[in-house]
Amino acid sequence: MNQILNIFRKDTRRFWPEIVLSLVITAAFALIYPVQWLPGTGERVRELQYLASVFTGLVPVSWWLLIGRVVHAEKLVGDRQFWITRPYEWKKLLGAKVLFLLVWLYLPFIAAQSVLLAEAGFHPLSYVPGLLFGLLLATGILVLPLFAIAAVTANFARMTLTLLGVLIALLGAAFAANMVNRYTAFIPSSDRISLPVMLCLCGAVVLIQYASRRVWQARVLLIAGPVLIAAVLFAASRSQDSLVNRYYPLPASASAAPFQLQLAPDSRRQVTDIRISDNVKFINVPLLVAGVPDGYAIQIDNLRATFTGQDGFSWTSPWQSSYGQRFLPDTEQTELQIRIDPAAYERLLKTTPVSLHLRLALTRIKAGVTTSVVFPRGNVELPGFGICATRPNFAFWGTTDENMDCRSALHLPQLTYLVTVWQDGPCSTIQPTPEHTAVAYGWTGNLDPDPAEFGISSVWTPNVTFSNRRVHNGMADLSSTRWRFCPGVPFRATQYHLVNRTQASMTLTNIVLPANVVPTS
Amino acid sequence: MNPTIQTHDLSMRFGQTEVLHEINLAVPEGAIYALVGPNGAGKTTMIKLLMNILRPTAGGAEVLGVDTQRLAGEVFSSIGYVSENQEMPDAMTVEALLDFMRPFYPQWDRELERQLVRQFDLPLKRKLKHLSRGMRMKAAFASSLAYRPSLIVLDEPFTGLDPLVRDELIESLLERAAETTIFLSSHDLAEIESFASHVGYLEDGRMLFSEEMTMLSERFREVTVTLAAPVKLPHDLPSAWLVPETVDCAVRFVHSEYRGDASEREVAAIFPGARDVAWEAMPLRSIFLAIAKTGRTQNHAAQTTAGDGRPEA
Repeated sequence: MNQILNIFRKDTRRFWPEIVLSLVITAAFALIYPVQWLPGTGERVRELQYLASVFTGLVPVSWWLLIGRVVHAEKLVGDRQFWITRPYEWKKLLGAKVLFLLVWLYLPFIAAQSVLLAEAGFHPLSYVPGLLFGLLLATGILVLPLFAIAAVTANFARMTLTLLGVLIALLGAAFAANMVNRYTAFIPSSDRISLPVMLCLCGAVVLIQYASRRVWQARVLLIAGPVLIAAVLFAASRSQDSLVNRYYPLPASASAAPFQLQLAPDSRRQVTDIRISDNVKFINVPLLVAGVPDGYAIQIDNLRATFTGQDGFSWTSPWQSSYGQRFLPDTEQTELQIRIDPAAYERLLKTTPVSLHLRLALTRIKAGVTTSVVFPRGNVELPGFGICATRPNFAFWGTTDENMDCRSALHLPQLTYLVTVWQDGPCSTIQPTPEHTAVAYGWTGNLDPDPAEFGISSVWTPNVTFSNRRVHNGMADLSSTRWRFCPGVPFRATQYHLVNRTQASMTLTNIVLPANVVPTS
Repeated sequence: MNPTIQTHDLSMRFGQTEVLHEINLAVPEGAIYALVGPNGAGKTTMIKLLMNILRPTAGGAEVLGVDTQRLAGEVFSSIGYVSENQEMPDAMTVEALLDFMRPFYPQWDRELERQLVRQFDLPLKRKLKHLSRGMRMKAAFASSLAYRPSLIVLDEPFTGLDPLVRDELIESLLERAAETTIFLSSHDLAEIESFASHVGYLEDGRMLFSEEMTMLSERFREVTVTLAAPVKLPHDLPSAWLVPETVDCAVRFVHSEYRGDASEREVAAIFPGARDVAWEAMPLRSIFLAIAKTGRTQNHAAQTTAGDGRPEA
């Protein structure tokens, strides 16, 4: 222990400027970040919000500085270091570095996160497990990878170059994966592989280096890790069919489909197409929805479409994400967006109308706690969701507009369906007439069960976007920017929970594909 | 008594290059062992292997009875290592360095530390990066001697130092010699001849010899044989006769296995008409030069032979 404290004291004395800088950045972040949800408007608030974003970005930069400097104080690469022929015990040296990070990185960070929670109206002590889980995520995603890179590099400049190289490689890998597989399906929990792999690999690299300074072994391991993850993800992207079938099991043949879809073109709603580029084309198919049971909702995560022409020509898409479109028991109509190969589309045009067989990967969700309030002028706490308030929203043309801002602790709230009333006119109107009000709906949150998500801030500001049938699909007779969310309106929030994931199939016939392909850009 | 340092066929390769070839040596306790050899002979690599800074590709070694590949942590509290190329914690002051090092060594002697600081006239408040090379080396010595290590390992410790500093450091070493074993490398023979008790000669990664200085001095003689008339050197001279040459009526060589009367009878047998034979003890420098020349001659001969043996293109 004496050796740990001795090295810790030495590092603290030596790196006090870096420590002070990191503390200042963390403190500034904790002080400024609440502007993201505190009431206020105008240019000053926008400047502070921008500043808060800057300091949010600077916090991990200060970690990079602290970790690099303290690890390189007893660097593990090279054969000329003073300390390697001194009676350092590697476990105590590593312990001293960990202690340094605990005291000068983790403690200020968790203090800042606690301050933010308190500022946002959440009691930090109620969120200790989530805060600790957040630290674990920060360790796996940022601290340990930075520590491992510092452990296999000889100085701060090389560490920085390596870090840039890693970032470029990751961006390149993401770009390459996107090029290889243009149809990306949503796979629940797919990111749960990366964190344990990163923790294990980076932990192993750090241990190898401190225990034996086998630099090349450690470097190979560090390079192999991301390559392994990329290979696994690449393999997963190539076998999306089996992954979708695994996470969305096919229903027993006897069970009925959880809902029904029916083709529903009318004078205003036709099959339309959107051409993004020569390689990217979508069609929108208008549908009638029925059969969603009361108290439940259906979320379409992925779809697989098979188009068959009258001459027997058939084209089947890979699984593709449908961005979590949700149907409630009272949902009557929707539009399904399907990505289609342009060449196949041209071929299908010759035999239109066509039939469309859909395989849908679904998540069934069930309504839980419902909170109904008359929305007050100040904050309102919605149990299990967070704290919401109306807020004057700065509009670009210089007027202010009421909107709703929410904040939740440590992660986005549980998936929640919000219903309220919009008002067409200033909030100062005492009793708006019915023709100047509209019911507005919105979904926010997710089904992630973890106690925290990775974030520099412990307070999340979920995006709450309302719509209604008049505004939906751009067919509103009034611009949505004129609709206001005002204090005093009824407000209902219903939480939804995961029931199961499954698949459903249905066939739609007699679909007339539009022939006039008009590039949108 | 177990040797403080012992190696067994210690070998090291960097890729295809063999830097050390099957080194066997034993450094007895209390010795001042000087590892000498030209630049690039492998001295620093050898010391790095002994200190577990590098790992051997073959063979092994023990230091203070510990396999060098297990040399870590507490064992280093009995070893003082100073190298000309060592990266010191430059941001520290001399005082901070000593304060930081002290808790690592249970046997740290505060009085000896003060004595060394006084002896070396170390500026305690100055950062290491602001010290001259000599002062930095003194600070390294002070931080390595103050805990009275059982073994002091020095890699070219006096290179580039002015004579005054070098003498100060040597003096400080000799003051500790009674209680420790010293192993140092140097390419400067003159600086180690005055105090080394043992010497090993390394060339091209091979240990040409390793023995006590007194034995070495006893073993080598410069021999001058004066003859009645000039002669051609016989081809079959004993292998222990190094760098033989003729100058007019004299034949000169270095006898590397001098054994008194037996050696004199051997010379008399090869040169029966000798009018005079002079036997002179040799300084270390002359011994090494003779060995070095022999090594180069043999290498040249070997290369020539190999060249002769090649088929013509």
